[in-house]
Amino acid sequence: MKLTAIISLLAVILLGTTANALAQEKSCSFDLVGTWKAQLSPTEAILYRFDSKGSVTVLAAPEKNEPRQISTAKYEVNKELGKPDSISFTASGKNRIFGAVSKTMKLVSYDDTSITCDIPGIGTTRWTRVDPDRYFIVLAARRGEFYDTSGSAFPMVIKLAGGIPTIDAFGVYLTKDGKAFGTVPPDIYKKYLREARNDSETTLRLEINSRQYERALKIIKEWERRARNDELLYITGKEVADTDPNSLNNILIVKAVTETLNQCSQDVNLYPLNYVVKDDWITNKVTPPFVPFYYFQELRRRNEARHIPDQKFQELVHLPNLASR
Amino acid sequence: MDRRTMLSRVFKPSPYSPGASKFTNALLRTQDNKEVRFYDDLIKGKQCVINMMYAECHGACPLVTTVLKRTYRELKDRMGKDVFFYSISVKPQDDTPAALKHYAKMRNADLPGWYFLTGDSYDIETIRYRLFNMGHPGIDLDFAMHSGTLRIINDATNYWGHAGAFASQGNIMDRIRWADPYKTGAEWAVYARNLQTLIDKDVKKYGYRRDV
Repeated sequence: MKLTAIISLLAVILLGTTANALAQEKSCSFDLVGTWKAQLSPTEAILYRFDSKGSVTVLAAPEKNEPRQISTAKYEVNKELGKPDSISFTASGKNRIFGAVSKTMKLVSYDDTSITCDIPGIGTTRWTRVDPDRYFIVLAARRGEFYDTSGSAFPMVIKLAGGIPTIDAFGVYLTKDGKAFGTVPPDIYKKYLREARNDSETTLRLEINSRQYERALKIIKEWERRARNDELLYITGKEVADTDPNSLNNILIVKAVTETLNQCSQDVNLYPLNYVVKDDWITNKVTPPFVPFYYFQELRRRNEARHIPDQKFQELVHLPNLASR
Repeated sequence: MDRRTMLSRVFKPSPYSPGASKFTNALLRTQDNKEVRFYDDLIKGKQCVINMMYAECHGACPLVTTVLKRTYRELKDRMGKDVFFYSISVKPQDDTPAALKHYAKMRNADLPGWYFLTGDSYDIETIRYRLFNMGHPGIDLDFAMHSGTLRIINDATNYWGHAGAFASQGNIMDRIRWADPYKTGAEWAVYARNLQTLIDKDVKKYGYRRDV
């Protein structure tokens, strides 16, 4: 009896440790490609344009004039223990970079939109990502559309380039034949871009950065592939008993898309959709088809200050009939 | 049975087998860097025991590998002929075939009929959900929850079962036997007679049925 108790206790401790050891970690990936700005003074800035082939172009960007090329160099991201640690530059030809032919700057910290680095002889400096395009995420859900009184629920990601929006949406939505799960067609998602009008609707619209957009879009594209190739994670079968498997798939996608926003910094005030009783009242109180609705509602409540109102959203993203429904 | 024989021998699936539509036919790589199709080469018409692991895991994975090694010894005559073990990496981005080979060799588990598998993380995620999901995202999102479970499948009889990796050896063996091909009455009689002999041995030695 005593031995059994000791063995059970050891097993519990061991499995607990294992769970921690196996916990899935999603670290912030470092992507230097693109344009970065170092603000030297209120009227003067330097732009660094990194391409994917290992070259960087340095430009002076005075406030009132066009950017002017100063130098070009080759760059290499050095890693230590698998993590980016420093960036080495070697100027091309007679060019100089940071006043020398070659220089290595130490990465102090980085996230989606900024890099803080330590340049020998210059000191600690902060670069911010420059992006001419704008990006948004819209989380929309309804109640009372389907037989079980649940409704559509899906995330939409929007890229606004040159005033033209590109929209991708994936999740549970209403068609004239009933409930559907997959890529949401434009004529459907347009109806859900507008502001929520009553308690059975919820909409959250946030402006995000390019890296957040890319990560969220990647998740949506992956789920589009799953739906197209019949590779959804939950499928009809005994494992999912009487629960609609697509309600479970939808929980996975809304959780992944929203949590990827905070992969590099605590940008959005997220609700912990983790099924832990003390943190997460939603999954403990409501059935799977309703989870995305209450989750989006909770996110709207927590991020009310950042929510983009109807009028401003229409000014930014021109879509016909957006608010006419 | 070597890989060539294993892949060329005809294993007949049950007419009720869900086939590649459920299992997926993802392209995986073994610890010997050989390409295999998950359903066609590994599952179709075969009896197998599947677990999820990764090479750098210092918690449950080595313990489960030890349990499987013990099980392997008991099934030695059948291993690679009609029973196969598949240990699938949940960290395929880190686990190259070479890393899995090293893991298997370090634990003396690089044995005939036992394949350590890696592949594209998208495919592995699909396989993990298709084989181990509990219909509960809170459990299924954490792959640690699946590391202590052995999935037992016989595609020839369309049998699906599972065993806790930390259950007693007798329990694990029972569950693998439940997946065995159907026996005739005469075969059952032989099986029952042999089992009774083992029970009698246990009773004589310990005074009760111990771990048969």
